[in-house]
Amino acid sequence: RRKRKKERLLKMKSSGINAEYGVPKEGEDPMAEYMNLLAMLFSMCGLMMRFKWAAWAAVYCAFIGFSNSRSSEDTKQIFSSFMLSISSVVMSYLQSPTPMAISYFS
Amino acid sequence: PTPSVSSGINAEYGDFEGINPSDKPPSGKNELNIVNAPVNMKGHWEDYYLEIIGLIGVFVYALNFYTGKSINNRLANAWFEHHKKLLSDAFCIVGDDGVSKEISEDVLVKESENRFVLWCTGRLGCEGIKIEIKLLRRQDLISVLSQIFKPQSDTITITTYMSPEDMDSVVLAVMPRKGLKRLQQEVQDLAHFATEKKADKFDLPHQLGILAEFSEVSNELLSVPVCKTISENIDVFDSIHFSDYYTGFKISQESQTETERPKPVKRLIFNFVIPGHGKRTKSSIMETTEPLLRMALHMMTRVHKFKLSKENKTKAEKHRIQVEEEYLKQTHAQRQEAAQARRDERKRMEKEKMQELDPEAQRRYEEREYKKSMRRSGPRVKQLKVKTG
Repeated sequence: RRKRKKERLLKMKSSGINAEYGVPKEGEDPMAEYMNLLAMLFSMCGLMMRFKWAAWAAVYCAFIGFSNSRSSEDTKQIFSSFMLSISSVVMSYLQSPTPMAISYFS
Repeated sequence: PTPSVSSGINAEYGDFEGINPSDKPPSGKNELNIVNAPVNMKGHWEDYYLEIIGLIGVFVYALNFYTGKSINNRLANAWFEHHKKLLSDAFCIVGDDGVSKEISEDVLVKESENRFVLWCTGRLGCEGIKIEIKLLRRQDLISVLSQIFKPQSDTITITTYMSPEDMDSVVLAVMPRKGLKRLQQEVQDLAHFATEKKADKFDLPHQLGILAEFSEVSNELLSVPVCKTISENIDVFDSIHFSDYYTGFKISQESQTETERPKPVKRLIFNFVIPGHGKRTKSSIMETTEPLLRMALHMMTRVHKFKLSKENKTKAEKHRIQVEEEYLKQTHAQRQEAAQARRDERKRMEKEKMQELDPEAQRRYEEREYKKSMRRSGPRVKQLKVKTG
């Protein structure tokens, strides 16, 4: 097997080899980060300003951010944005159980 | 005297009728009993239609997430399983995880729910290869919906890492004509070195164009079997790009600085697409890249063995030195500008500081600056002491 030569075995570190210059990598797609940030913003809006629609939007943004995230990313941040968005929905309805349809459209 | 309680205005007690002020308030505890009355939810569920729609949306998104994730995992593993034998014959190590210190095997690294990476190494003529399986974002409902309007495909990108001694000065690209001109402007090495070559003499589909530094390169590397394989698998082939001076895409002039300019490296990049625009999700669809993967392995060996003629080699080296010098000149001017800007900024800050000090300190500072500038501009003059008298 002339093609195989053990002395040519090289350990390639993903951090070094992954530095492809100028090519917009999938990993550089900032959508997941933006979605996480939006989820936190909407959650704060929902909690502090008592906007139910913002709390719901936060849940969706957290989901989208989670599904687009890379495996190497910190799961704590994604988990915390999830928990924050769910808590903002729950708190909004505990404070005021009226449905959105009546609050906004009546 | 007791005010009358008849009807009419009573100045002291206001407009109350029928009240006898001497009446005692009712006896008993003054406590307020708050009764826990249940919220009346009967018959008002229809008012919560927005919330129900929201919940259904979340549920649908979660369902799509798990479905999409499992399809992507299945497709990636199917590709790996099908091509493992071919890669094992070509490389000592297939599926290193690329992270741990010990060498591992059979690891398909999952970068995200739609991106998988396979590292292979242990072959003469190259340092190793990185195979990126970039699938559609089937796990994200938004991407699934946008796929309806703008269909995209699953892609496989094979990047071969060549050491300096593994490859001669080769710049070659074969890609669809549509994107050829744009890519030639955007990719640095193609812009500097490659020119379009006639594709007529090669048995390639008409929609493909060729960029090469020398005709010798395209004639030698695009052999008959290679062209035949590409033609027979044109629905899977996307592009190839070989370069001994790969520096990626052109960065815009404003952001380009010395530190950001990447060092040129030697790379062979093969891009394949999975036919069907992502609609076909049977595992067997991943087998369609096998002939092109064979071709890629064959081309790695050909490029490794290929040597330019002396004349072309000299031209290529001269050209690269020219490009390098031009780049250094450009960045030299930029670096000088940056240094000058820093000096001006520092002077301005010092002047502002001086304004706040007393006139004596200002005078001393100005004298110092004057002496400095005289020293810089004028020639050094030796002082001679002449004795008089």
